[in-house]
Amino acid sequence: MLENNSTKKRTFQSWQAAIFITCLTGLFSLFLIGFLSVRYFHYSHTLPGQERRIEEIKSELGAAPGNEALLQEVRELDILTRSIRFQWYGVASRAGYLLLFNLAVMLTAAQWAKKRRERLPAPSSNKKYDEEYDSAAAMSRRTVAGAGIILGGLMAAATFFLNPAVDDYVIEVAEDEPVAKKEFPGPPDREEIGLNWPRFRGPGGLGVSQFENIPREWDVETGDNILWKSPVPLDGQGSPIVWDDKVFLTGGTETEKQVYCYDALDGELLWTGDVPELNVSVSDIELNIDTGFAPATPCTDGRQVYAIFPTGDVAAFDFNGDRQWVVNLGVPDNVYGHASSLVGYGNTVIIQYDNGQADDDQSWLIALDCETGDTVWRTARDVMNSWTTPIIIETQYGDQLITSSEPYLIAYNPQNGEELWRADILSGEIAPSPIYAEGLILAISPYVAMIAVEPSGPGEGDDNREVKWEIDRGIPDITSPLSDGERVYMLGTYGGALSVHYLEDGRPAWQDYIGGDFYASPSLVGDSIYLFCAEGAGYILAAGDEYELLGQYPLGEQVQASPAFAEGRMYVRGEEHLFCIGYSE
Amino acid sequence: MGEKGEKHKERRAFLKEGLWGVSIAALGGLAGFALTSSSEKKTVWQIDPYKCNSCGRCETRCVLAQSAVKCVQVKAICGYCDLCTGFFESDPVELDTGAENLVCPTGAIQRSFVEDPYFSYAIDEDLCVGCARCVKGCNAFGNGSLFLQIRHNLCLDCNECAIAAACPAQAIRRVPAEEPYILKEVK
Amino acid sequence: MNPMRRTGIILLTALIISLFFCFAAGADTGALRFPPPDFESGYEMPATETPPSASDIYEYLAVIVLAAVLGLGTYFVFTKRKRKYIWGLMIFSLAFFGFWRRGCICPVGATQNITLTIFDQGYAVPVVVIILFLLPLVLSLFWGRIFCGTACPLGAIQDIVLLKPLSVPYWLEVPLRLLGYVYLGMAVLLAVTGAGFIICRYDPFVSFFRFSGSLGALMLGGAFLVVGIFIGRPYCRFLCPYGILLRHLSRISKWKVKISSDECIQCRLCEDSCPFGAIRQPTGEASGEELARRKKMLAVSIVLLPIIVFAGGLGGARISSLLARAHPDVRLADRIYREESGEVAGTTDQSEAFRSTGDQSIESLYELSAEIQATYHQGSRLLGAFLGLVVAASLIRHTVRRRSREYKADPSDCLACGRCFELCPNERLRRQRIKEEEDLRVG
Repeated sequence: MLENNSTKKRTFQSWQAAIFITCLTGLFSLFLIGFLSVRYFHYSHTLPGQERRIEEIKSELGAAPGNEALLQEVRELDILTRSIRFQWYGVASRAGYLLLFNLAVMLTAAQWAKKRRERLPAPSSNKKYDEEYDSAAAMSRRTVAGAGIILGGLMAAATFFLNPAVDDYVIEVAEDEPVAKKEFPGPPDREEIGLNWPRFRGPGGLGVSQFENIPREWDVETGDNILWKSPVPLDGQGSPIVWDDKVFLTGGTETEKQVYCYDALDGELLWTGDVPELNVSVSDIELNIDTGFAPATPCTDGRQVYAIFPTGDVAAFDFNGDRQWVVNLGVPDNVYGHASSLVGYGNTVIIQYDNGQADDDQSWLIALDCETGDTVWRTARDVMNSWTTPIIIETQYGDQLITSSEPYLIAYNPQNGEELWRADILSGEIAPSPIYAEGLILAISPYVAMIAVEPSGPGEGDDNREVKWEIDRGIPDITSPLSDGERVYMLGTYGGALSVHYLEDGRPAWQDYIGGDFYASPSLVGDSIYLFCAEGAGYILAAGDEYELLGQYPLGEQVQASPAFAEGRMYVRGEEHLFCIGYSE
Repeated sequence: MGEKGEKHKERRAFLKEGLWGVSIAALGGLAGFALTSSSEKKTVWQIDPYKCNSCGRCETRCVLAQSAVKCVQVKAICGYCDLCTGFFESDPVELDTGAENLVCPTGAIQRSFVEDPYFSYAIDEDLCVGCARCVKGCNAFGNGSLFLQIRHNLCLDCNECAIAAACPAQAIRRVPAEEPYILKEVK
Repeated sequence: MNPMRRTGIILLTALIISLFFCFAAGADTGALRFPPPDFESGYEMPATETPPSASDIYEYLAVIVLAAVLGLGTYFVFTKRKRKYIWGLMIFSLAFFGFWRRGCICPVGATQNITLTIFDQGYAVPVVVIILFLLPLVLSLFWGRIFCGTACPLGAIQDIVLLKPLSVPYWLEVPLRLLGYVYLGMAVLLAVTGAGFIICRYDPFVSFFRFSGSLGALMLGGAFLVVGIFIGRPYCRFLCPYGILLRHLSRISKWKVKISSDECIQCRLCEDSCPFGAIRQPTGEASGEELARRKKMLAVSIVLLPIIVFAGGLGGARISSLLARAHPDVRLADRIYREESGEVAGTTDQSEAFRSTGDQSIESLYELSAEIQATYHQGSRLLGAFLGLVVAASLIRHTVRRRSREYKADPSDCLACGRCFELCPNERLRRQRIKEEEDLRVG
């Protein structure tokens, strides 16, 4: 009660004291700000001038080394600049904290004084809510309209006062021009695809030529059966693909990524398509020099050609060489560089984009829209980075897309990317792509095993799926296997060990050494097997129960890519040239 | 009037409910979409020494008073030169530590004798201001063992790096925090 | 000076200069100019030090603290209803998110990271940033802008300087708010095109949190604080891009901050208590004349809407090449173009760096610039249309007459600071009741 009596007096005094503190700390803050400003001015204006002078003296001294006065000046300036600099660094934080503390006190006192002086408001009695409300609304409408007009005016006038970007070189922004938009044609049908070589290892990705009239001999010296031979501008390990009268290839260097189109008739380079650098450059990624800058094979659907590069850039060109789109799939994390080739399916291009470790959440199966390059669907994959190309197989359950990476062989619905089934059977850094023969999927764990499994319907027998048979001898680590329907052929890279087993149960048939190193996968033409060794020679063997070499023909340059086949012709990518081997006349 | 008012109110409430549902769905969709391209890995800013052109903006543009960018050295690249052009002016009066002979404005590089005729150089990061003068000198005449790096014990990891925004060579980018440095490599 | 030494230096210099020319001719051979020596004295090369960055635990901590602050804030605003608690929480946030975490990264700036990740597949946004961005937004759908009043350090620093609040008339407040939409639109456009994060670049207060920054940034921040002494939270109300998102979500929030804990008795005590202009008066009864006028206005505004949106789009397209200059690649292409065409003499650091690395050809730079400009063409047209829509929607909003018999906090403007609670007689009664109940229980 006693306290209550004295409250009035004390309140009066205390807010006054608070105001006094506010003013005091306010003045001190101003002083600090002034002090900081002077120091800052020294740092930001005096210092650069002095440093320029130091540079000047240094160059003068170069001409007149003995000038003691200059020496003296430069040394003094040096000490001065250092002290200005480090005093500022020290002051900036110390005085900053002091200022903060001071301002905190000031604001506390000021707010406290304010609170102490607050009185309850005493609003007048008559109030016309309706009029106030309506007039405020009307006024607001006017001011908003005014602001809108000012905004519009600023936009209209801005280009008169400010410097817009140069766009003289802008060719593509053909705006307002009534360009009739071309209708994007539908995807090719099975029959059409079957007449061409649209992807890595042919229509099914199995390395089996649908054409049998392929030359069994040639001679690069005399030009026998060599229809043409054209230089390829940039290196690449990717294989050629063929659609009608056009042959496509990719090549690259550290800075360039290109797609080439050759005339199948005479080997003329019809066009070169450049793929621009998006947000990822070669220096951002790991890339083994053996992988090269264009390791993946492009694919085509007869409307456009699609190519992927180790930077994760995918580009589409029409058959005239005009780039339609280019997208980046994100920075790859692939120890040797992304090398999986593209696969076309309907209106999509499918990419097996495996990165990092199995639990890194970086691996994807991605389908891009052929027309726009937009992602149609994207399915996460819990697998390690790999270098295999998926195959699409026809099964009794419908089309299945088969991928192989450590640790799973996974089948997807190629229409929507839904996972159908998986088998926990693979290991290692997998480069050999799977194949499909006589109802069996043959997948490879490099050096370790070839495993045969049967496809199944969705969700059946996941993980420990029943393995039909398993081979552990003569397993390649780079080339993909080949089957003639009765046997399966595996080609070792070093020394050219060709191991043959029966498809039925995996029992061995025969094994022989061809000699040489092999990076290109084997191909089947009729009842012959075509092999190309890295040193640059083609071998033709009989497909059968024993080793029978039908011929061996040099090509004159190294070969690492698998051949492509067309009616009466075979296209082989050498180190420097693209060869067209076919019957002359 | 009453009934009409009620109906009006109901309609408004319904509209609001709908909007609310749409908003929460939109935020959820946004979260889902962002999560698909998200990463749990932290990233930090770093200078690509192969792109850097030693313009000197690292010293002045960092939001810190004394820049978080420091000069670092990969010893394996260093030639241990007597006349180090990252340390001495290209045309020194004498090979001593007189201000007129030194490249570094703050004397942050220390030179010490190793064995005849080699000298090693060390950077005192408390003194280094990231001005890149030594980097320029070392690149011009030497092996290029000196280069700038953002020091993560100092960097505040701003959402937009002020130096990156000003870098003329676009040499600063975000890198995974597990490997927060881009050190030069011996070729 | 020792003559031997002197000669030595001259020789060395000559050697180096000649070496320089040799190497300049055959630059980038890959080999080192001076092969690293084989030391005989047993000297071992020290490894390059690489101090690690701060553990990302701090980022997770920030998210947890934000969630806690928001939760506590909601409790204080809706249940406790006491300015004192809310204020205390705000001061904590200022200290924690502002001065300790140094303001980065915050939900306001995260807007840009999120938009960038939507449009750029190559950009992966950290999960922490997504949560930070979404937490306050989702909360606002339930309880309004609790974030602004309790958790945002940018808001807090303005709140504590507010000493002499002047009320901004409603008709001025409304058009000023448009600035925030312009800022938001620009920030999104620039973030999407990869030109940069302007919300962060021009953040007025972050330099205070860091105790350093460029003179311009400090002065901008200082100016905001000086204005903030008289105008409550100017940045929050008129500029904050994140505030725009919160504003619209709060408008439809499930629960709204109420001035009075009971029915409003129209005592008018709270009328001027809100320094942020969020309190709406009762609207009274409209005359028939006014209603007819409003009806006509509404019809006109609705007809105008598509026209204004279209005009905005046109205006946006007009400034597209201006906005495109915000992108460094466009500016670089510009500069190179002007240099190539002889329009300007000399080079800049940028053009020099571009030419010296040679990673990219001039043509591909032009092509890139053209692509970016095409994006800007689309983007600024959309931006213009968006601003047109905002203006038109505001016009429509101010023709619709709402009926209210109470003093209400407009949920889109209310920052949940709790100032108005303290003046409401109902609230005082409630507090007294609670106190009495407690006394009873204790007694």
